[in-house]
Amino acid sequence: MKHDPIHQENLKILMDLDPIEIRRRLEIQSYTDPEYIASEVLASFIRLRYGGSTGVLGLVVNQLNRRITKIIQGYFNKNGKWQGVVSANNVIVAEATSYAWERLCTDKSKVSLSENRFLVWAEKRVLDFLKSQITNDSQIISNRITTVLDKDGNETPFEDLLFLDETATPVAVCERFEVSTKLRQLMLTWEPCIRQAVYFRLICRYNWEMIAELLYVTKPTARKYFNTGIERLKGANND
Amino acid sequence: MTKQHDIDKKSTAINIIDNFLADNPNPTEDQWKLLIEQYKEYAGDIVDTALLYSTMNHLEDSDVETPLDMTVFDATISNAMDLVLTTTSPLYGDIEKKVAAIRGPAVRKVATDIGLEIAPFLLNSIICGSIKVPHKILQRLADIFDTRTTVVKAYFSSKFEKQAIPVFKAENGKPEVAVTQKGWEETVRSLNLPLDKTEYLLSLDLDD
Repeated sequence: MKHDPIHQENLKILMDLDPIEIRRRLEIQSYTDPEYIASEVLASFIRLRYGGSTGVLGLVVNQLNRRITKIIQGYFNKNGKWQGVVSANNVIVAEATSYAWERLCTDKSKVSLSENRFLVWAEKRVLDFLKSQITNDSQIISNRITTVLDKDGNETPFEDLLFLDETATPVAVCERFEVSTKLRQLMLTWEPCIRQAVYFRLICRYNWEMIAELLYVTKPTARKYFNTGIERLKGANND
Repeated sequence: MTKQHDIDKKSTAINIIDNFLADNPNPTEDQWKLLIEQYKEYAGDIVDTALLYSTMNHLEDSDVETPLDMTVFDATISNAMDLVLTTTSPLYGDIEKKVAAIRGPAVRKVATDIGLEIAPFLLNSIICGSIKVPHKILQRLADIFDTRTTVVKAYFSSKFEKQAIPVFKAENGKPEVAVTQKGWEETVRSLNLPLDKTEYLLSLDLDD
């Protein structure tokens, strides 16, 4: 990944400014203002730890924390379904925010996604945080999975419902997306080895040798994980 | 496996997936599959991210134009401030080693390489962070250190900030301690060099 040249140029310009001017620009909240400082540039400031002695760095932290908090809050507002797996309360939002900060400050890579596409980076941090929160217990969310009927009244096998068929009609796509999303969310509540076995088999269509290699297990064990997952899908479908 | 190994592995997986999403903001199943095959060691992390990514409603700019929840802000600002202000940038690691190697005879050689042959002692002042690096020297040092000019500038600025406050007894009047890096022009002019050398050194701070 290479640095976004526009953000890097703006960073250079900003680092050459007097601290008083930088502080003035940090107060600008409207992103339509030509002197608004993009979050990507603020992320670079943080990674570089520039402006500590002038007080600029502290103001950058303040401004970026406002933005990260709003993004993560916005994510949970838009993805309320996580309330079944993770209670989307202020504590979780705060924890996800703290996780994002830790990641921003410790990332050793020369170029961070935060410096190129901050919103995508923040979304990805929430995903990483949620991954760490997904239970390893055998807790299953009982959801009635609606099957999709074709014009002849035949049910689509639920294994196929994991796929997002983008060639179908818009209504069918929406229905399939909703079912696919529910099944995938269900899988996210399982043990990693079981959901990964199902994903490798049903979505990637790998053979057992490949699945065993990816899971670092034997072929019989890979099959066992897969079969357990399929039984759970069937069980959820029958609830 | 050690805990550090697990942490490093997790960090690598995160970077691989970040790079992938930077190039493929709306990845297809086939693209995720190719990534798995390219990085089999991280297949588990990739699958989990693929599942999460395909089930989320992605954010748009309008989704984040909501009032700030001050409860969350207040709960996180101290930790963020502490993390940023008390830790060193992980980007400095490589530069640190290369700067440490500039000592003894190496100083004159590097000074010549970057255009300070007429005043190699200025390189020492730059290295310890006491003077601001002029634009052209910044670029040349960035080339030598194989990094960006912004990283070099931030690194030497942080060197200055970390300098210990000297303890000394002022014989006459108050002791003076620099609170900001000294400017390049001020430094050059204070050397009282011949005009042509002064002009040459000053030109090192001009943009190309």
